[in-house]
Amino acid sequence: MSNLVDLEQAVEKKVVKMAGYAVAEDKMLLATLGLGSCIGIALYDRYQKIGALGHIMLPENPGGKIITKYADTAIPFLVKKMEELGAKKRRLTAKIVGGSNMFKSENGESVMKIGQRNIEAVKRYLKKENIYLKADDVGRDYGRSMYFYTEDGRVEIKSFKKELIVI
Amino acid sequence: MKLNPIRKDMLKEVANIGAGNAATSFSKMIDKEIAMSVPEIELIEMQDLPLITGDEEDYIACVMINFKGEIQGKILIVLEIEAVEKILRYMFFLDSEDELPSEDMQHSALNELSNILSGSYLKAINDFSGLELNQEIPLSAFDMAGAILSSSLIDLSENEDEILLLETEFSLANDKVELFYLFVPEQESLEILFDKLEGGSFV
Repeated sequence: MSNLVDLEQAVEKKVVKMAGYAVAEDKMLLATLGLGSCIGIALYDRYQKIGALGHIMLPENPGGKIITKYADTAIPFLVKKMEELGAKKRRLTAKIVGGSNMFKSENGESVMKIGQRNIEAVKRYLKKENIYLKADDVGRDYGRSMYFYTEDGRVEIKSFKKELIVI
Repeated sequence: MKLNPIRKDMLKEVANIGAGNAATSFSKMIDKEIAMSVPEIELIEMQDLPLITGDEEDYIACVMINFKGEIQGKILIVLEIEAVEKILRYMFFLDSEDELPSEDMQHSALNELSNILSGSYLKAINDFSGLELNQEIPLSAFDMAGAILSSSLIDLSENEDEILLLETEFSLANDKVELFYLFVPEQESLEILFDKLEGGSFV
């Protein structure tokens, strides 16, 4: 049993910052911490075991140079990076996490709708690229950390408000 | 964006005046002596924002107040949860063994405190610069630092990859209670602020 745990911990880990991304072809753990209204997107080719993780902040790019910050420019970019490693676009599936509404006023009203707009934009641009959305854990009002294992494509979600979720 | 040293000093002075007044109000509210740090003017990359007060996965409390008027932006008040508890005990006159009020009450009390701090801060800037400033209702969140901080300023980052922060720390020396106060003007508002300060009696 202890071997299993050791193997888990031996996996190499890469942390993706806000507006950043990572691609991996080996058995890696790609993580992004503290997703609020941002969206963590994991793309996976399960035959090649190639994965990409992006941390998207906003729906549409108004001409900014950090293209992985925006859903419309990040998704095609991540696909391209995976293809360069040998992934096939038609095999890609996606899992998305985040898009919450962190702030509430005293009457419980949420004021910033950016989380919801991000969810809709990411879904729209996945559809445009013909990428199947396999699972999600989005919305609500709490922060999430996301751990993506390229070994089998599973995504673990940790938060202060809920038990560990695996999608 | 670039800030020359003269303008940086101006912003430091703005933060100093605002925070000085806020510290006085804070002290009156909880009847304790409040120490205040020398304000720091920082231009940070958006992706480093979740790290300004600690780790991304720290559990924190944050109150966000938008301000509008001749200049616009946001005020963020960030505390560790232990600090919130201590401050609430002072506000409600509770001993360390007394039970804390409900989470709704905690949000409400922290909002009230933040309202007073930002009101004093903005009032001092108004007296000093003549700029008309109005604050909106406070919004609060108790959760993961990264999630809260990234979400709070996300609308300012649509066209910008850097954020200007006027940061002051308040502390109750004997209690190790710290409160981070961040004044974040929108970038378009900065020129207006500088025009006012450079044309006025400040220089």
